[in-house]
Amino acid sequence: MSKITKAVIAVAGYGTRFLPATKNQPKEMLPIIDKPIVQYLVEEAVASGIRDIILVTRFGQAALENHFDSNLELEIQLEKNGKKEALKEVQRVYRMANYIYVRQGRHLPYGNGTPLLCVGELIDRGESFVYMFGDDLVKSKVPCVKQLVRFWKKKGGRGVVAGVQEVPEEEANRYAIYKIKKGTKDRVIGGEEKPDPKRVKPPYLAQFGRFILNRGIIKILKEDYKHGRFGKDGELWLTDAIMKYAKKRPVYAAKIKGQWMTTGDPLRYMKTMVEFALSRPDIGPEFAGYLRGLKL
Amino acid sequence: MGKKLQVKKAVISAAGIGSRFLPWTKAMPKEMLPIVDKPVIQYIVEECVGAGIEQIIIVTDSRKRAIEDHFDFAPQLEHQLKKAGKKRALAEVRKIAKMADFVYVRQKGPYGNATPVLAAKSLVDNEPFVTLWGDQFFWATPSRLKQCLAAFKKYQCPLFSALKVDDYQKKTSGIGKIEDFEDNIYLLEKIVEKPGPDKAPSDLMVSGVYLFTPDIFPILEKLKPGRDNELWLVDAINELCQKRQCLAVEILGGQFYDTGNKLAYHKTVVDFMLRDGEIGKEMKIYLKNKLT
Repeated sequence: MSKITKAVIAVAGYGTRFLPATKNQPKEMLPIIDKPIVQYLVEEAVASGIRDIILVTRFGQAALENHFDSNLELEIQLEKNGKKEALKEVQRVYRMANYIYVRQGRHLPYGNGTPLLCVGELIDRGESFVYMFGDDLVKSKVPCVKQLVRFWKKKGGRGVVAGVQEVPEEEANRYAIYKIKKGTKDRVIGGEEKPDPKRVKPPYLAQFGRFILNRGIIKILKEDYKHGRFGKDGELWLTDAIMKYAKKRPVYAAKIKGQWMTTGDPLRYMKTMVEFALSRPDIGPEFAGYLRGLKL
Repeated sequence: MGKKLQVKKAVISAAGIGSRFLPWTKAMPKEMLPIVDKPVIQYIVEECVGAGIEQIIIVTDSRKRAIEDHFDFAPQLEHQLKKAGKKRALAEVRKIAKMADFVYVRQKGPYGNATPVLAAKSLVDNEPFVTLWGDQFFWATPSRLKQCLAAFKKYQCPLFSALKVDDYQKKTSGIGKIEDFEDNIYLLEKIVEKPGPDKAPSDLMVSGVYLFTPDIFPILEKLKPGRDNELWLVDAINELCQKRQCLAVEILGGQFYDTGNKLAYHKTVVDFMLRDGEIGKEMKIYLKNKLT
């Protein structure tokens, strides 16, 4: 069984719903308290044993690359001002992993499978890697990626694993919903992106943005792209590729323990921000007091 | 009396590390902190433009390029939005670059909040101008700046926006020593920094919009470093108050928003979210459930 050391994080979206704030930065650079969203993802991966962080970016995202690099001018100033803790934190950001950047060309189609078209050369034959959507955050005791890796190891370190959580019926049409093979707990035999809830049966196991994948998936995506086989709304969907893979090889759904939060639109981003702020010891109690005082 | 002076230029101070928001501010200026989907500095620029300001002078340092890009066109993004048929987003993005005449000047000189004003000297020349902080704004109708400019039209002297504050803010803000002048306008004798509730000369915080006439520059040029060996705008204002009439304009009908620290920033963001029609409603429901 090979070891998983790489995580691919997709941050190439346009973040149209956050314009104009996202005019010159990816939405994954939006802050949750005092860190960009993407840093939470990197920290989750690093805490799960990942060493190489592959960020799939697009034009106009220099701020993201600078964030994960050293900034000597700032560091010198912090040192001068005696801000030791801030200095340590700033340095930790670029020391904690190897950062690799790949640009997603704008000729490529929309879709959450597309970033994987760009990383093929960086993944070795027989190697499995973690794939994370840049706008999903998980608050959990055991880091979500670690839960996935453990699960994958239990399954013999083979095949594809997708993190899932059960969602209520009325939310089923927002996610990719997985179907589990009868008689098994977690073997995936089908799935559909944003299905009509009348056509799928409970439990509604929603895929969220955490996976363990391999080159088999990339190969399927490349073929689909090459032959113009796109899915819903003409986009290249990872779920479609995973379902094709599942016909020949094992795909498992790993139920993730923890609070899954997305930041893909302003309302959910705000909710996530409130959740994180309330659990921060430095501002949480005062912030809670403020919220209680609001006329709601 | 000759022709009345008009304010056409605003100096927005956007220098400084933003260390309270590190590591986020490692690669992004703190003035670009989003209030949900709009950076805070854009609110300030919009306040200026809405009050008739034509030239926006932003005082920056080497880490603030994102601000320049924000108030510029973004051809690649615009192309993509056009292709995707996102007309509203496209219009919104293009509007920003056309709002005003943007000028950038790099700050040089000692630490302190008086330095950015001095950096703009050659650009404001012989005109009256306003200075605003890049991380505080005010939601009022008419806007804070409009209220200040209305007072300037009448009195043609330096003046500063002010706000009644509670005991807590008397510990953290500059409080005015004032005399009654007219309704919500006061004669400013001096500003006392962070006096605390016992020593506060009034309950009026004087901060936000600083409307100066060019006679502030000789004072700034000779200003001696004050507390923490930094150059403080308040020290210059206090000297100005001794030389000529200065006013404090209490802003009416509004709400002050600070994004200078984490707690204030989160309060601001939640307040703004609740203002927004549809999303505001959903946010209310969410918060109600969360807090019970």
